[in-house]
Amino acid sequence: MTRPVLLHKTGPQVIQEINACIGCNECLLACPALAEPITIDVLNRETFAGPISAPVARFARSCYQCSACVAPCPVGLHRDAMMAWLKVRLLRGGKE
Amino acid sequence: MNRFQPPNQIGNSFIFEGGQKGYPWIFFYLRRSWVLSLLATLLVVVPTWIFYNWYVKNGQDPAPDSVLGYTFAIVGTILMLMALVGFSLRRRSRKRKIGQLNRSLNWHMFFGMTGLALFFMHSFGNFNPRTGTYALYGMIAMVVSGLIGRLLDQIIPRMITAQIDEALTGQGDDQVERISQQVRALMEHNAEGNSGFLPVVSGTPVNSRFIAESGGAPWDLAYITLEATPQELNREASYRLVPDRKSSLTRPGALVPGAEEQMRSLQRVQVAMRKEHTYRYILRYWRIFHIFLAFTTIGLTLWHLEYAATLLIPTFMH
Amino acid sequence: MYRQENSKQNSTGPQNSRPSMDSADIVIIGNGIAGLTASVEARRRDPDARIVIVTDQNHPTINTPALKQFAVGKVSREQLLAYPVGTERSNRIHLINGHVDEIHAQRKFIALKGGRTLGYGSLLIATGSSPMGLPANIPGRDFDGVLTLHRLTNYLDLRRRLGEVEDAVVIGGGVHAIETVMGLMHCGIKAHWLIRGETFLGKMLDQPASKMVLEHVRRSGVMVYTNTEVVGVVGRIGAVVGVVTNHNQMIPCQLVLSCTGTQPVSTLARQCTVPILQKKGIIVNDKLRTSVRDIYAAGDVAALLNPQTGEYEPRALWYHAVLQGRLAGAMMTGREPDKADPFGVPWHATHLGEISMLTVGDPLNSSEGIITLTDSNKASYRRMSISGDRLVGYLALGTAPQDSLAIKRIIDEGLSIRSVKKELLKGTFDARRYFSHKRTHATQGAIKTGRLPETSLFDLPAAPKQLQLPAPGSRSTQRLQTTDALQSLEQNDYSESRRHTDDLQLPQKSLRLSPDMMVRQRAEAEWEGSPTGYRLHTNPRMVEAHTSEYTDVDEGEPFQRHEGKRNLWTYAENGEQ
Repeated sequence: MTRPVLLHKTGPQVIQEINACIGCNECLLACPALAEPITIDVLNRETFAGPISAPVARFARSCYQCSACVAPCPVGLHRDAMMAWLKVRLLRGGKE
Repeated sequence: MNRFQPPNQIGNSFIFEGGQKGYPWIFFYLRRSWVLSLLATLLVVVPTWIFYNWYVKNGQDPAPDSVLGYTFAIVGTILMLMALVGFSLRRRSRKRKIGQLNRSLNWHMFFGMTGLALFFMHSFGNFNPRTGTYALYGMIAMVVSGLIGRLLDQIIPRMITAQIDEALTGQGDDQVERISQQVRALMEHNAEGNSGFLPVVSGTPVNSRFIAESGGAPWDLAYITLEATPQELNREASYRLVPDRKSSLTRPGALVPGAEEQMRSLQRVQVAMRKEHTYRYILRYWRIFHIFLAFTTIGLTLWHLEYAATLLIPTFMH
Repeated sequence: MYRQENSKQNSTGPQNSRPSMDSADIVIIGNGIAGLTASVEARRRDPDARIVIVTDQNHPTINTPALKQFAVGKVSREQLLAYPVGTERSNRIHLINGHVDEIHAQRKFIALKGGRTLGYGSLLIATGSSPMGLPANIPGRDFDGVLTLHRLTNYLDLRRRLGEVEDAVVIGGGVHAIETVMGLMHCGIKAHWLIRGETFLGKMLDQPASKMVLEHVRRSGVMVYTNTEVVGVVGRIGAVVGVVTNHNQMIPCQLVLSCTGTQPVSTLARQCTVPILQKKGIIVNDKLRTSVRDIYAAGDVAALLNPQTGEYEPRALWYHAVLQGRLAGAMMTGREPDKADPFGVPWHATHLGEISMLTVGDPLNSSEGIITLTDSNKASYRRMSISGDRLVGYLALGTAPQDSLAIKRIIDEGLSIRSVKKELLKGTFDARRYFSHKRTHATQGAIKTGRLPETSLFDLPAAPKQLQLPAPGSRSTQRLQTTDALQSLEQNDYSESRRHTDDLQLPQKSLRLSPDMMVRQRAEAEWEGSPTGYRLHTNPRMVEAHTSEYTDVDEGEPFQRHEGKRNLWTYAENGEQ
């Protein structure tokens, strides 16, 4: 509860964070919203660019930005910001 | 699936060929653990309810302090305690699989709601004695806040996403940065031709030569700028300029035509970010509220137990 | 031209006894993350090129940093893959399992073991690093149970042994060693950690930080031995039973793990007909070209220039390998990326047990002109190196993780940290709000006052970026500098209430200003009310906006209203060192 409430990150910042992700899965293990097995490489690939598969889309919608994924990350990345970016892409895709 | 899409830039990533799109306000994904915990709830509550109704009609002593009443209370308490610690313990455990926390959450809800149902039955309809009623109220508030929290967890992230959408450009860059670049471009455009006396900037003594050679050039700074040097005394403190209400000077950005629109969009983005910040705080604080209610309920329950003990101890002392 | 002539007769390329030699436009040696990222990026930019990866690794590219999670069973082998299954196939990237013996640089082909040859248009050497392991003269290093942890096979071996081990000795003084040690404790194995030096991670952490980490590790139950080296490994009938240290102590164990660092695998540089320049790795420029035409290097094997030290050294970290791979892929298709991501300063973030560590830039720098601030309490420690008002190095230890990339951005872009110094020191920095607020207010102020920001007219071609200690300026850096210079309007959120002017210095300034001085002034002071010629017509009047309502344009003189504090860096109150 003492961690600060952080705003979203811009697209290029999210891309930079994805580049730095070492794929250790700590964030996925800590997520209370993720209900089906997803591999982190697929998640990173789809957050980066390209079409979004159904499991990842479901995960992206279910994510409720609780930020539990930030503390376990060894590299100090923000999976919640990356998920927010995924959400924005889903939203924009649906508007087209 | 997963045919690799070569995007040229982030913008093209919004082409979803065969991918998922859209972000509805309310959605629901049927998950095994949700079904299981729902079934468990029903399996516990429904037969117990049936039994409870039968007992009220035909049983000997339908009261909270009967044997059945105590049974309800104890089982309810166990369930509540499991709800309290189950998720936290799982979160701290080392051997976790992906998705386990989600399952724990569903079981947490099951325990909470079943416990509440059992406490209702424990009360046997006696809502008069104070402490028990308050404890029950506390419990209702807590469970209801949890359910509302689930709803909020669906809706508020969707609202946050809408605000982020506002704050980012189509390419995902910061809108504020884009606007400030446009403003700069505008101002540079406007500044052209306004410079007037622009001294040459270089390290060589060209400056002084230039100034000397312009011969007879005025030395009043006001030919260049209205900006006062910092060391000047502030004479204006004694009077204030009140522009005519119809004067264009009352409008901000009057000196920069075309900037109004930028100001408006800037404000919109600011508002969006502020809203996003607020929504995130709502999410955070609703969680804290739910936990606060849990502690309140614990307190009220302890109070109720103390009251119950004062009733019980005399009977046991015999 | 990177495209290889595929003609079978008349080939101006390699002349071989074989009339038709296999060749590819882009050949990549090594399928670590740098190599694979390069190949994927090259495919993205050129859908028609023939791309081949030659590797002697028998498995696809994995997330190497996740091996420590794999060791303790938190991830499975399938979850280790770095790219989704079938990425190579769907991108038409051909994979050859083989070992490269020699590079023929003039005739542009590589010779594989077994006699096969492969011509190339562009070649990327991404052979990675190899572990130092135990020194060769240590007796008993070949007993069963002595492992050097580096590749997947080593970790598979480790995982298999974990069940039958009670005590393990870990040798090494770096991040790899501490991760291994904590992993072993997690599995319930008693770990004995031998560190040769006095401190842990001597190049990145200072004394207090190292002490904090080692204390924490000791409290977790690990036996830590500093100033200790292994003299020999004792075994019985072929299997290890313990180690003997230089303090004549025998530590019984069933497993000896060496995490003693890595070195770049630059053997190919010597096995090239035109020797490739290499020292501590294959030396490359900022576009990853080696000293030989059409040959590039990326990843652990490439030695880049460290802008802060002036040395060429490899950056053997995951993030750098990814970025370098991407850049190499772009370069090899002949398309230099127009907006190259500058690599920026080196950084490293990881979990040391329960402690999060972040180090960016050079926080141990204590040379002239660098001011060091530290902040510590029982559970955390932060150290910042500041030059002027720019952050040069940052080190943070604590239970709460930091926003690593945001801080790296601050250092890379040389942004002024005036208003967030306290947040950075306490670790509560929110980058997004900070940048966005700054730009918002800057822009609003500019519009309100109708004046251009100070520096916009001073993107003079002659103005050197002298104060940019880290990476060279790119276009994005310049952009940020300009808007950044429209400083602020310090929000109430950021509690720094200091305003300042340079007014007191004015009488000394002369009218003649060189570009150098201009840059310095721009960098040092925000508000220069100097009457020198160049400034007059661009003095930005930033109206203090405690509210966001519009104020009268003519309202008062901002400078007089400022408190005249000149120097922001009153470090005395912060425990200046």
